[in-house]
Amino acid sequence: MGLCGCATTKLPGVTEYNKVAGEASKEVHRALAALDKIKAATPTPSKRVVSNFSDEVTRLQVQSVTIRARAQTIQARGDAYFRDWSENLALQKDAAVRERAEHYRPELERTFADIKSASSRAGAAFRPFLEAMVRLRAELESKPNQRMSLFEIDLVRAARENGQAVLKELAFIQSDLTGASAMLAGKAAPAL
Amino acid sequence: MKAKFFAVFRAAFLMAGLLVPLAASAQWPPPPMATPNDQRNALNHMRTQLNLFQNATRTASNFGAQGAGNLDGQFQETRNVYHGFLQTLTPQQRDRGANSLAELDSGFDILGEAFTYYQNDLAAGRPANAALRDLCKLLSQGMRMWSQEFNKTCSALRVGLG
Repeated sequence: MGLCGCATTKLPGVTEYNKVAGEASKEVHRALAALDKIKAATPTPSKRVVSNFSDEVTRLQVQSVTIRARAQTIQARGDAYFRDWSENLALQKDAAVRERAEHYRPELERTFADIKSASSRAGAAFRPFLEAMVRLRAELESKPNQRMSLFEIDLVRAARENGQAVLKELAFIQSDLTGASAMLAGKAAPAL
Repeated sequence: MKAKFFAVFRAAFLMAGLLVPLAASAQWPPPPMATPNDQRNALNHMRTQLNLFQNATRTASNFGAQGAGNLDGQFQETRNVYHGFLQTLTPQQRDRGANSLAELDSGFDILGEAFTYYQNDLAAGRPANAALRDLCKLLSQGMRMWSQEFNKTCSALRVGLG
């Protein structure tokens, strides 16, 4: 739910999405660490470990709202989303940035298309990740101090796999956004 | 008989043709453009509703099984008030804030999923008080984040400032 088109940001949209993706990545790492603690406590995680895991799942649900809303909006608005970025770049006060935005227009458009795809894949991986985490929490809390079932162990595996997939896509998004920033700042040649 | 039928049919057709412009002219005129004052009122209404929602997240656990239902009602009301607020934006504001407004809408969709997770939790045998506690926490914190973005968007779009 970040704001695009903010006049005070040097590269509206680009910088802000990079920050949102970075924060989301940290949250996913954190959730995966909590998942690892459950795995390490197998076959019978203690009440405290489950309680910590439960808190982390809630935290993930809250902290991921922004990135999930972003991914959903990019999907819903499609190219119009990035047209807004392009228009804002064309209105930049810094003439050099405006010039580079125009010069590297095809590269930027390709980068925006890549970001759109990665955002879609990140959103698609996030849903099963969160669902597995939430379901695992429910299973663990409904049967405290019991041996983990095969179903629960399978949920741990599914959550881990999907969490890793989310991280991979977030890294793609960040890399593309960093590349676009460098291109616009004149710090790097575009990858053709 | 056939000719009579066609004559009646033709007359009805002509009548309909005459009535269409009348019906069109009887349509409501487009709603007047909202004034900055309308926007400020809608904004205040939204902020009041956001406070009511936060109160609902604090008190839901006092209502036991009905707590989630009360929260759902407040959530839907908040969404309705938000849609009312959107109606007061000018076409230029909607255009300029298209991305952020769409994200605010997506934010509502995502927060709304909390109710599905709550139901799934209960179905999976999670203790009801724990499920409700997390639902309240998620909605309270999530809506606070949403409110921050809402305020940022309103500032950027100069809502109520004309």
